[in-house]
Amino acid sequence: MVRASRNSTNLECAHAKRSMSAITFTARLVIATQAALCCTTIFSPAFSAQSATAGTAAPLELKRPASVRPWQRYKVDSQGSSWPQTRWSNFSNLANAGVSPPAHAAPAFNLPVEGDAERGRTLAYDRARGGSCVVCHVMGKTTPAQPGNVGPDLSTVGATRDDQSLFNYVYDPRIYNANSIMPPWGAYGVYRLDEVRDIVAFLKTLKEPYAIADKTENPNTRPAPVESRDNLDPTENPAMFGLDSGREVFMRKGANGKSCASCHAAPETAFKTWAARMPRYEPRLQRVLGVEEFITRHGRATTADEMLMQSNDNIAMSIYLHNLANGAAISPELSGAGARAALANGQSLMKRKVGQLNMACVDCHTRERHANKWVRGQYLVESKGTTAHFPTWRTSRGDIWDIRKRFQWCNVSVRADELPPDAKQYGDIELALAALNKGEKINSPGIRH
Amino acid sequence: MHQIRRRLLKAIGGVIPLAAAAGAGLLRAGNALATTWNKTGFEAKAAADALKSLGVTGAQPSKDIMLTTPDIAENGAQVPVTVTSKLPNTQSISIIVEKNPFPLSSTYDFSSGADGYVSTKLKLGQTSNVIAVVKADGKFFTATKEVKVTIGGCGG
Repeated sequence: MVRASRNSTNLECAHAKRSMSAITFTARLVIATQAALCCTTIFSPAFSAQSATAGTAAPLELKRPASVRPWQRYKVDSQGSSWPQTRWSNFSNLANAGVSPPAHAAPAFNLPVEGDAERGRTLAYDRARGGSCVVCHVMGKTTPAQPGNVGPDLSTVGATRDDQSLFNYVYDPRIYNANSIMPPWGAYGVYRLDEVRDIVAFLKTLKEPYAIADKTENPNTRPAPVESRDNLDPTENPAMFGLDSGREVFMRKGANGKSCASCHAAPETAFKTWAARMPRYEPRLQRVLGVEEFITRHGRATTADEMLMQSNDNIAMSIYLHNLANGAAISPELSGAGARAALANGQSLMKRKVGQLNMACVDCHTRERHANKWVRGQYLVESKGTTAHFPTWRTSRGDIWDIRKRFQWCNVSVRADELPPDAKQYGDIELALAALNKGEKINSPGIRH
Repeated sequence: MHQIRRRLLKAIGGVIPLAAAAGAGLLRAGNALATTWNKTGFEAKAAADALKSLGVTGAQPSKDIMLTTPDIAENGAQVPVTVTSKLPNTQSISIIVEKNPFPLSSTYDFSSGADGYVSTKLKLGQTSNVIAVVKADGKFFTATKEVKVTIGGCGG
């Protein structure tokens, strides 16, 4: 017999094992909590089609956008996590290249650089301003918790660099290193000139090496996170509720009285590998079509149901269809001129520097650049091995995201304006990622930070 | 196990108001389910006061308590914590999160020879020591572990 008293301020969910009485009670707690987490996220509408085998041209509505227009950035996720609302139209994004200003020298400044070192320290350590310096650098004995290691340790930078190079580097590092991942803090206006001076004044004080003894604090010894949760356990992964909703949407009659099941009587067989072969180049749209956009367009053409991308119904269907392909190896169709051009464009977009922080996908997510390093306490993963779990529950956001929403968030994180989920550019990148992840086994819905 | 859980979930899936009540702190699980609701303990704002409310004096660290947590929690909103007590006659397990606004997170009373095992998920406001307090054979024992809560990078 086990009795539990729990502090509601700490309550997430609980399961005690090895005691039947405990399971009954705690299971209820788990369910209640998880239901609360999910009830606003996913609910069910319907659609139908022909065969899901390759080669047949599935009916698709081709004219209208597949997502909300005019597109407006999310204000909050379903559980209230906020999205930044700043517009960054004066910087390049995935739709517009060449908007961001090129590298340029700092305006004339006096030497030696004088500023308020204490204010500089605060700026360097403050998370609120573009993540701050500590996101990528260890910076002397007063370095706050969990520094990153994308950039070099700056603990002795004040002893090795002169004022001029320090100022220029903070203002626009591209003066010295054209392909630097470091944002042009001054040139792109994250910090004002007086703030750059303060930061330089602080950097000049850094003269003593700093060895971080704590293994988990030191970014060079901190163990990489390992994902070991059972993503198909509904007590672990709230996105599993989406699977049930998706099945219901599949069975539900649309506006014309038909359901998906009207044409796809045996979804378990019909969709065994379908999602693993997506996204694919669609000649009728002349661009790449992912699972979610397919759901919208195929639904319109068959059951007359409207399931806009990133709507609850659409995500639920996406989870259901991905889940039916669990275990199937990602195998996108890459032959054909259309697919090849899309793939090449996707790969090229992943190298484009975007946003006020001036970063490209490859800067953070390839091992040739900075993958497998730390930005503060977060680990930068490689693009390979990171797509097979979508749609995925994001524990840090309390929401289920399809892969396009993940792209949108990446864009916003580097302070670039995101695109609508059905943007051609996202399709091209999704295809490039599928090519990179070829052979990985679909395992959806996922659960990630 | 998976199927059983799914059926359970389906069976009780409609009880959303219960969840809302629990989330809002309206559902005092303790009133209904525990012998005594440790009001002082759950409202204590310091770990020492929470310990005092449990009647803990001179608790000794014990190697027979296994406190399993991640070294670094990716997300402080749901940190998995497991406590296994191998102490004979384990009567209760309490979990304290030192730096939380209300450090005492939960108390589990064991009787009828139930195994001293609890697995739960806790909210951690920041990097903190987590303390498992086990009462066994009338005496208190502890196990302590620091859990770092991940600090985000540029975005998330």
